[in-house]
Order: sequence, then C-alpha cells, then structure tokens
Amino acid sequence: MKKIGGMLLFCFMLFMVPNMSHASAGLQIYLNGVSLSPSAGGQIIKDYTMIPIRVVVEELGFQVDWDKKTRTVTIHNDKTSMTLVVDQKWATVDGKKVSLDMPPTLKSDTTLVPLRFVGEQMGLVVNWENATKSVYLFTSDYSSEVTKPDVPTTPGKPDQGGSTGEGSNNGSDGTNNGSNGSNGGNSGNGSVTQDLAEIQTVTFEDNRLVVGVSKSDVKPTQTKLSNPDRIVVDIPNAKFSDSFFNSQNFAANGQAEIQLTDHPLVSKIRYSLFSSNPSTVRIVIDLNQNQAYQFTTTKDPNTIIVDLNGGSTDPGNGSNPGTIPPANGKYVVVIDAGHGAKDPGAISLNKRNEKDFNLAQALKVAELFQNDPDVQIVLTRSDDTFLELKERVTVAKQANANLFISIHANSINKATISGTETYYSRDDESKAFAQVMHSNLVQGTKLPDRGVRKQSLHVTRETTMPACLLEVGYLTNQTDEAALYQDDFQNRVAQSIKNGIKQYLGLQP
Amino acid sequence: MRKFTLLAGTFVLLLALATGCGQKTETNTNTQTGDTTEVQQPTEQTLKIQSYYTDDQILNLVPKEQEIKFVEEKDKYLTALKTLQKTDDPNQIALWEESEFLSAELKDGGALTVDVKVPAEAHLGASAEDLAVQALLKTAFQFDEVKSVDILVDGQSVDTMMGHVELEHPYTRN
Ligand SMILES: [Zn+2]
Repeated sequence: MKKIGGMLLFCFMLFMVPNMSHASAGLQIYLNGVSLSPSAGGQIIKDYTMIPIRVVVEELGFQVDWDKKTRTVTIHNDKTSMTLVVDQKWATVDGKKVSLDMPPTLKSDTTLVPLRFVGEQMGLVVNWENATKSVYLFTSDYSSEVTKPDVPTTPGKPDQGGSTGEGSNNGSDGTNNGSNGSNGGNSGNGSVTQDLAEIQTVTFEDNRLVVGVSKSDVKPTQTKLSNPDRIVVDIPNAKFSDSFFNSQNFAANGQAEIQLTDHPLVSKIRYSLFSSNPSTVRIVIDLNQNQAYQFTTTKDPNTIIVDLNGGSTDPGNGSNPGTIPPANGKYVVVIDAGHGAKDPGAISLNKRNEKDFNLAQALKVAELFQNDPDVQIVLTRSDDTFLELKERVTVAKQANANLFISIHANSINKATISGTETYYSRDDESKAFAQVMHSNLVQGTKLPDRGVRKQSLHVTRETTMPACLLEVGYLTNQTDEAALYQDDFQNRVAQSIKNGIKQYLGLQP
Repeated sequence: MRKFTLLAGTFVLLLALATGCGQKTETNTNTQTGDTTEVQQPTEQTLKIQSYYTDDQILNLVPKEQEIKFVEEKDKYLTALKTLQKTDDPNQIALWEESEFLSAELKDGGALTVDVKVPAEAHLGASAEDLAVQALLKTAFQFDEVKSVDILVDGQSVDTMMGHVELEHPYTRN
C-alpha cells in the first residue's frame, strides 16, 4: 500500500472511566458531536447512563420492538440484533448470551436501557466525559471519534477528576499547541513528566502500523475489540514529540487520524493523548473486519509495530497467510498472461508464440476459479491484446489484488536447457509466495525443477502485493515445447497454480 | 552465417582504409603481427576488454576477456558490444547471439547510444533478458569515458526489449 503518514487532529479531551456516581442533572448526550435533544431524558442510575427506548429509535436510529407482555426490548440494525428483558441481568446479542451489569429498568412507565451496553453492541463508540457529565457517542464511520478506555473500571480518583477537567478545557484549537509539552504535568499529583517517551512518527504502510518512539523502554499494551472491530494500542508514559505534533494539521476538536480510503482492512487510524495520569498515548486502528495481527516492538530503531499481514510467512504452512481478503470477502488474484499482440514473447522451436501459451494457460487458471467462494481472478488480458509492463502493474493496484502471478514460457539459445523456474523480485512475502507457487508448479509441469530465483523484473518488482512470475517451461527445448502446448499439460499446470494459490492463502484445496 | 558477416565486415574495413585520405599516422604501437587479420594495418588498435555472458544455469553474468580490433576510437563501442554475440566457452551462453548491434555512438559528455535489433526469434526468457541488458551495460561502462547508456530498439526508445524488463532511458553509471 502507499505510504500514508501523518496526523490530522489531536485531542486533549481526556475521557475518564465511567464515573457516574453523580446526580443526573445536566447529563448531556452527543451523537457524532451533536447534542441530542434535551428531552432525550437520559439519566444516571447506579453509575450507569440509561436512556428511554424511544431515544434509541429516534436519536440513535436503531430499530426497536417492545413486547409489553414479556417486557422484552429487541434492538437491531442491519448488522446486530439484541434482546433485553426488563430487570434481567443478561441480554442476547446475535444469539449469544451476554451478562449485563445494569439491566433495563422501568421508570414511570418508560423503559430505560443501558446506553453504553446498547451503544457499544450496536457498533457505537461510547465515551464518558466526567468533567462535563457528557456521553459522547460516535458511529464507527465518524471521523472525529475518540475511543473510550477499554475496560470500564471503578470511578476515577479525585485527582484524576481534576486533571480531566483541565484537559478537556484545552479542547480548543488555540490551546492545543501549547499544551502538548505540559499535558503530562498538569495533573497536579506529582506524576513524573521528565522521562516520557516521545512518539515521533505514526505511519501505515504495507498493512503495518509503525510508531516511532524516542525510547526503547516503552511498555505498550494492545487490545482487540469488536463492534466495531478495532485494535487499541496504549503507550503509557508517552506523549507526542513537539516536532511531530507541530508538523501536522489538526482540527479544532483536537483529534488525530489517518484516513484510509479503499483499504481492504483498515478504515482509519486515530490517535490522541488519551490520559494525562499517567501520560498515555492511545492509537486505535479501525478495522473493516476481524483481522489477525502481530504486535511487536523493536529496538534501534525504537518502534511499535502492529502488522496486519497476519504474521507467518513460512512457506507452505498454509495457515496465517501474509494476505488479507478484501472487504467483499474474496481474495483477488491477478493472473497476468505475459506479452500479447505486437509482442509475441519468445518463439518456440516449432515457431509457436509464447504469448499464445501464456494466454491459454492464464484462461485455464481463471476457469478453474470460476464460482470459487474464496478467490476472484482478475486477468490483465483475456485475449491477444498488448499491455505495457506498467499497465499490468496498474491492473493489480486498481483491483486491490492480494496476489499477483505472471505466466510466461522461457527461452534461451541453448536447446539442452529444460525445466520450470519461478521468479520473485521483492524480499517481502513475495519470496515465500514464490516458493509455495513453485513447489506446486513443478508437480504440475513434471519438468526439471530449476528452482525459485530472484530477479529484478518489472511486474514482480513494481506490484505491491506478493508477486511471482512463472516460467513454466522452455520453448527452446524439444521436450518442454511439446508439453507446453498440450491441453492436458496446461490443465495440470492450471490445477497446480490453483493449488499454490489456495495453499498460500490457507484455503481448503 | 555469423562468420560470413564478420568477414564481410573486415572487407568493408579494408575498403575504408584503402580509400582513406592520408590521415593515417604511425602512432599505434599496439599493432600485433601474425594474427588472423590477413592484411596488416598500421592504424588498427587491439584492445583487451571484458565481455559478459551467462553461465549455463542462466543465473549470473560471467566475464571473459576478449580482444577487439578497431581503427577509429569511435568504432570501439560497437566492436566491443559485438563480442557479446559469441563465446567459445561451452559453459557460457552468449545472450546477444541472435540479436544485432546496429550502432553504438558516443556523444559529447559520454552519452553512449546503442541501437539494437531484437528479432522475435532472439526473445529470451525473463532472467536471460535481464542478464542481457546487464551484460550490455557492464561491457559499455568498462570504458571510463562512457557516462550513460541509452538502449534503442530499431532506433526507437521503447519500454522493454523482450517484455519482462523495463529499459531505462538512459542508464547511468551506478
Ligand atoms: Zn515471457
């Protein structure tokens, strides 16, 4: 993926753990920054914010069914459905039983439901701001969202309450600039500020979030959350470096984020100074789906890495592939038939064109994947047309492909050379991918195994996904040539290419 | 066929010398006697160069010392490149065997433009194409005065010679 770096917004509104041991007077509820009508009638009962089911429908936009007889509330949208029963300490969410700290309750003929539970289960992010007694709700697509603490704990200590108020008053643009340096030190309880690690860079590239840190002794924590799917990384005893902070644009409401359009995995990455005591930087990766990842830290350079490529690139282990399916759930594999039209490729012993073999072989692979539930094939060409090398790369980029395979037949002015070779150009997942493809391919060709080789070839170097180029056999060798243009040879090779793709993606053959 | 071309080339060279108009001076001390050239020409230079081929696994470039003969300095580059078309080492493959070098002209400032003809029959596989380009470049850049090399195909600046490796226009010394 292209390098997307930078930070747009920065937030100094410090959201504390739910602290609802106060009167409900003045309770405010905001959805995506807009205040719900005062008549919403939210109230705090035993530290929980409760809202009438009417508000769930009218203000939050979910559908609600109320069965008066069984006192059952059913709330649903197109993704999630939940059932709650008045005074029952568990709910059913998408068929699963979930315990409730605070069940729905009836108050003066109005059914009240716990806002945080309902909101979060329905995909909202719910933040409680103690200082202003406000609940901030954000839909997952809302850009200026700030995450809540992962786990609601006991009400905040008094000194934290103090710093919260101070922090949230800094939420305007004018004070943000100056407050970065002092944000760790204003909590008034003597917390150490000198030794804070500085966050110097935040980038997202090749499905990896890389956070550059000034010190190696950071102890980041990470949590995976769902509804919506997201990964939360907290870096305690850290703040943003002044230069990083000042180099970025940030809006008045003080939130930072990297927006990723059309990324198959990630919708955006948000960050903020999440807490002042201890000074904690929080980075949230908003995922489009449940996604495996690897969390690592490195020393020299000091980085924190969240790698969404799934981790293992062991050749042939099949599980945990270095590839992630796109949003529609199918892997996209580009099959590139080499050469075409005015470029015949190499000429075989019997004057047949390489381009014709390449096309026939590519079409056979595509045919095998027709109606495949997991893999969608995109062909760079499906007839005898000409594409420049860079146009082939563009096809793969535009298709947001997960894998790229170029099909060729080989040629050398030495007739004794025979066999199958597989090429890669980049020392990333491409190498493992080439190895998996090659071990399958040689079983299909039954020609001499001439190995996996690295060479700087345009289509395998310039593409951004795991890529390899198959030189199936030698057109300049008699045995190879005879095989290459045979239907059953091509069928066998197509099947071996399919097997390789499935193996690399960890799919059932 | 190749031999015939070389002989014809020699003949043209002799003709050129015979019709030369007296600018020949006896400055060349490299002239060897008793070699295969039928007629001794005082202005002919002989130079030992490195030419590049590939091994029979098509894995690497392998250098081999070759001797070239030329009269005028400007002919040096084309003569050098033509050595890439043939090797007598059975363990080596001449990557340019079936292609042709049409011209190799050094312009002021060290820009060498090489025009090649690559018939479809000379098209190589992916790795051999890459090695062929590298062989040409290494052979050309061994001459210090060559600062850049631009490879044209039939006089045209094209994206690729054989459909696997993109050509840079020009390549510069790295
Ligand atoms: Zn090819």
